[in-house]
Amino acid sequence: MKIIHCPVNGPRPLQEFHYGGEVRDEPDAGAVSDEQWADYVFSRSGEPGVKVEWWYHIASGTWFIAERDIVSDEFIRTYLYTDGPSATAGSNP
Amino acid sequence: MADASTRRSPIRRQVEADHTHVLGAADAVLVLHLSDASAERDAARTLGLIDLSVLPKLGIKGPSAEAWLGEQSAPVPTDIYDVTSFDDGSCLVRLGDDEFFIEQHPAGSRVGGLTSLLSSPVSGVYPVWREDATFVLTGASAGEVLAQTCGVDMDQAVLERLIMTRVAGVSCSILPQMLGELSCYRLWLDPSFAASMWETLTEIVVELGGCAVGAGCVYPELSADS
Amino acid sequence: MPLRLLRFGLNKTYKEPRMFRAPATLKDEYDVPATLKDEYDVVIIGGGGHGLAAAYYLAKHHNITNVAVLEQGYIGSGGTGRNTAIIRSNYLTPEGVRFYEKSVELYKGLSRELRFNLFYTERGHYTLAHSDAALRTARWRAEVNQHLGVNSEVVDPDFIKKHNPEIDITCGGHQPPVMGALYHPPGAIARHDAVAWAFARGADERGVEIHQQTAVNDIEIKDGAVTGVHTNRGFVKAKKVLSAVAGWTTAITQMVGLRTPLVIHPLQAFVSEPIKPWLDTIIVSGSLHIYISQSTRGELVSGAALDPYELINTRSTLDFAEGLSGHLIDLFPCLSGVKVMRQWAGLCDMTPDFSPIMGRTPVHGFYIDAGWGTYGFKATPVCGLTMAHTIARDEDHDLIRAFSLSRFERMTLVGEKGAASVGH
Ligand SMILES: Cc1cc2nc3c(=O)[nH]c(=O)nc-3n(C[C@H](O)[C@H](O)[C@H](O)COP(=O)(O)OP(=O)(O)OC[C@H]3O[C@@H](n4cnc5c(N)ncnc54)[C@H](O)[C@@H]3O)c2cc1C
Repeated sequence: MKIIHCPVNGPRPLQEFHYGGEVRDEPDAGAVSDEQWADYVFSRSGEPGVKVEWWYHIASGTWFIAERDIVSDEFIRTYLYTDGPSATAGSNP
Repeated sequence: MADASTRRSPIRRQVEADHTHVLGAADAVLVLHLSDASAERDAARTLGLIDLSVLPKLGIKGPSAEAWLGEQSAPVPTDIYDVTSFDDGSCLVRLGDDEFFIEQHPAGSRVGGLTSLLSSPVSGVYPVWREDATFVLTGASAGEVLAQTCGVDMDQAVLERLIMTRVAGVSCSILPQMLGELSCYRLWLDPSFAASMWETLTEIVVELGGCAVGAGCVYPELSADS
Repeated sequence: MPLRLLRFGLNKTYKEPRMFRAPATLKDEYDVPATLKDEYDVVIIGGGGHGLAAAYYLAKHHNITNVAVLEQGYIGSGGTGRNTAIIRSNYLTPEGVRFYEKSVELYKGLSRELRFNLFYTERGHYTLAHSDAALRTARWRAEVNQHLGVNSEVVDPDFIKKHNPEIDITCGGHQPPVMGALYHPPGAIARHDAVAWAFARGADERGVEIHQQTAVNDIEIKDGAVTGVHTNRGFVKAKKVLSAVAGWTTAITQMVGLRTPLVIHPLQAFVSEPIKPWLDTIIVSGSLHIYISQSTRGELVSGAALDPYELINTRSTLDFAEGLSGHLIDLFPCLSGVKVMRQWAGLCDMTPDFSPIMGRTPVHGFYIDAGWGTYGFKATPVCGLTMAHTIARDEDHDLIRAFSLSRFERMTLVGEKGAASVGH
């Protein structure tokens, strides 16, 4: 069973989570060009590597951040967005 | 907010079919025993499943929620997922920094009281309408039911500390607790899943040699014949 | 035991002609050509159906034969050899319907054209609707399909039951009942690996080189134009490079510095033990997230929707097998005793609108055929045809204009989700 460390609820099976996609900063819609806006809306960093993503623990309603290798599916660390990466909840064995 | 006394269990048709003793008005029935009381109490020691969904509930949220609860002389828990009891036995769960959940004891009145206090706005305190179904697994084999349906190891669970997880594919809050002599797991879940959850749990409980029992098994003080 | 098999068994060398010769004088015992040429007119990255078909049509229609197909593993080892082989053209948008209809037309003549039995069999394709919303989408698709001359109609539960007697229209009460279906009589299946082998042989006969175990590690660009590719076997010059790597596309686009909406998700499938011919149609249920057909070998081939999160990995999960089996039994209770035999996954390069990304790109000489997600097998011939045209003339083929990478910048998406998210 795949286990993810939720920063609030601790290690839980993958089935308790929902994937929220890559963390992306929204540019100021009024200040950027149409191409830049379209790039923000549609383009993704889909290449192999470690990605910073939103994950959601469904039962408790907790959104948090996971740094995950999208090739090996290893969760490198998880933390609450407001706490930042230093408050790592632990990695998966 | 509706009057708490009009609550109905989402599975009342399933449970009430052959009840013998009930408590409460026509709309808020708490089934005390489904069959012979002492046989049920025996069964509950091994494995029982109880519907307590009619117990009134209340959520309280907001930046001033904690302070306000303190003013109502509530025993506010300090850590997230800790659980305490009001003087009338009603339980108070801390869900977050400024989020709480209360379920009234069958003989208590706290939820009714707090609800009416919040009927006129209090700054920074928001009541949340909660209609969770409440099921209780009782007895020595209760953990086995969860071992079959849930990814969290209940052997490691701490009494009176809430666990938010999934049971049989449905999001649930589980509270391991002692009710009298009985070790129990109290489950709260979205009422729209209650009927199917009751069916699923009953099936497993029966497979493991248990059965559905009445609330009188865990609240003997309510039983007329005890 | 047939005598021929015995002769094979006792022989030290393999007597049959290989599927494609590769440059005959160069090959070693593993059929890996010993050397790559210094330069090709066109390098095709990826020896899946799409890359091989493009090579075939480049040679056949455009007389461009100085072409190398570079495949990191063996041909057909990607999505081409992993898909569940459904071919249909009952899509939702006019652009999509026209494109896939052309592919179906090509498929019908392909066994003869390539002299290779692709086991192409028309089965009739049912997309079941369990809700008003699904039925509405079915009607919409039927209207668009009929308008464009594609055989497709909405049918009622009686019709479905009559033609699929084992189906439980009520889903045993565990799921919303079947209310109707989009019925597409020409819906077909084919033998997927054979498609790769046949195109490979066709291309090979016309002089194209197919290099297996040859991976492209980087792409060289000078002044905004492609000059060649770096491989595990050295540098190869080429002014035209086609990326036809489906689930690996994000690694390739990174090499040329292109940003795209593509993200990779695994898609899983399983087959059962072979049973007597029992199901002669293809059944898809969007609400239950399942589809099923029976192969010519008797195996039930079945799959579901995409895995729920991004992952460039072909691992299998128990969750999938469990969920899929449960829903299959809701629809076909008689299958409860049938055993699952094999389970696997493939990589799907997903776009937000469930349409592909095809054609020229901002990098001169770099062509892309991607975004094939869960539905690219059926498009194999038409992708080869249109990409060959696009590469030969350096101009997007009419049928693929709508699928250009630039559509995102122009906000002119081609929304096919309603026709492609489960029924691949
Ligand atoms: C389980 C499953 C079921 C499916 N069912 C259907 C279906 O029913 N109908 C349908 O139409 N579609 C279906 N699909 C989708 C379909 O399989 C794909 O869209 C299609 O096979 C893509 O073909 P392709 O030739 O573009 O890519 P592929 O067949 O994936 O070929 C790409 C090749 O590129 C090679 N490659 C990658 N990177 C490099 C590199 N750097 N250098 C050299 N070579 C490289 C790979 O090894 C691979 O062989 C399904 C997919 C899956 C996974």
